[in-house]
Amino acid sequence: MSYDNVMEYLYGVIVNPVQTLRAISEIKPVSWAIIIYAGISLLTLLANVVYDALFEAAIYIIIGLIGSLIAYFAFTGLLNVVSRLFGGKGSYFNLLSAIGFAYFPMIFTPPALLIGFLGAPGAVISVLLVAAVTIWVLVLEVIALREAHLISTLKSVFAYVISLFIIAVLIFMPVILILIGVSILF
Amino acid sequence: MSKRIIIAAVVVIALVSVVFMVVFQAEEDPQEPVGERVAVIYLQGNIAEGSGSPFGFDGITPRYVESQLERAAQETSVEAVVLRINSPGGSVAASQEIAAMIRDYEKPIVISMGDTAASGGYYISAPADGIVANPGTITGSIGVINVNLNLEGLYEKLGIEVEVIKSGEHKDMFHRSLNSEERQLMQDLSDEAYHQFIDEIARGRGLEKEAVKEIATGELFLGSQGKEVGLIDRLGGLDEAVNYAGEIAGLEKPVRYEFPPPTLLETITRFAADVPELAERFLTPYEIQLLEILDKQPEPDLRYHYPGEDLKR
Repeated sequence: MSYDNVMEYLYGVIVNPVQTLRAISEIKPVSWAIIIYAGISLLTLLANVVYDALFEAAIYIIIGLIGSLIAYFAFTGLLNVVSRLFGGKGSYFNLLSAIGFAYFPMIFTPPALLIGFLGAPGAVISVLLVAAVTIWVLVLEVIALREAHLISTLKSVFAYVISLFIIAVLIFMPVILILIGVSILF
Repeated sequence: MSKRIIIAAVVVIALVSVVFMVVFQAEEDPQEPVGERVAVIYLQGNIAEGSGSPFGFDGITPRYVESQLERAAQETSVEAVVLRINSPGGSVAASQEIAAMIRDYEKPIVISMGDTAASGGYYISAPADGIVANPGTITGSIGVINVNLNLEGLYEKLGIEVEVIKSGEHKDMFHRSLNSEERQLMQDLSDEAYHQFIDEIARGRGLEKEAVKEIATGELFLGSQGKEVGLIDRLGGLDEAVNYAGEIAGLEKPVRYEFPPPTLLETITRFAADVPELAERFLTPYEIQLLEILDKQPEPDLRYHYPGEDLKR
């Protein structure tokens, strides 16, 4: 996929998400999907980190980016498995491409956070905008799942929710165990 | 407008937003002006040895106090320290260790008492350069307490047989009722700790020991009463304590300074430090917990503790 096409598709994710995500899942521009996901994650991290201690901030950003990418690959894998249980026909890379592009609207998070620096009303607007962007991306991910696996919207929603539940139960617990280990070391 | 330009504009706006946020963060300084700072350190809860959580999560531990005082010592803009204490006291040894840190600290320390700074809470306050309390603060309770549970009757009721094999005549003294000799031994321990308490107050407050003994009856004082008997220097709140610390340090315009909140990693570590205990409590059947409590009870526990509300964190 060429650079011009990428720009077209990014535009399409915002204005015409259904057809765009369908096309993306068919073409499977995995590399571009990863670049977009990583780029947006990096921007979001840069916008959220506290810069009092530069070294800590750098560590936070690096770990955050790696964690974000691992979460992207892992969650997509889980979504793929669960979707197949619902009769999905797509592949992991179909879905990975679509999810990566569906993440693009998160790019509106930094400007939304910036509004929060404009005093008390700005803080409220900022929170609402960030929530709205998050919900928007969530909806796009469900659409991406539907288009990549050619299943109904309802099945996509169920597959997404079940995947989140599995993450909460299976993955949250080992994370807690790791944190316990970290706390013992420190 | 071409789609490419629109997307490029969106990306540029996002990048510019990030840059502005970094700039705004750098300019924001809620602690301004940086000048003659008086660091305020909060000490809340029972005094005891603990894991030394950097957030005082275990109450007031020597490790936590040490870490906070070191932090204030390293900050060159901090000229004095106010310790905001809200504690009913706790263990004798931990109180003594903290008091020694306060006594030997290189910068002036003023105590600001909250709701309660009694018994061990007063012990650690005594060596400070000044003590400020609200008129209604509960303080005093200068004395020592040791409570031993005699569980013989309960064990019998539960059908629990305790078999003790010992070397040392008094080794099992906390697993049965005390005999008169053992009671005297414990009384001697308590008296010794009591005299240590009196010595610390006399030294820290510049009072005669006899004068301290007269008020060291274990009675409580309100802040206003404490001032009358020489336990408190001034009446007032935290701001008064900051001003007082500034006076002692020779500052023209003391500025109250509080350390930045913990980072995300520190917060996660703090939460993770509690998880094993929470998990254990959740997963351990009630009967086992009860047996563990019964098994744990017989241990000597001398405390400078005001037997009122038990402050947690």
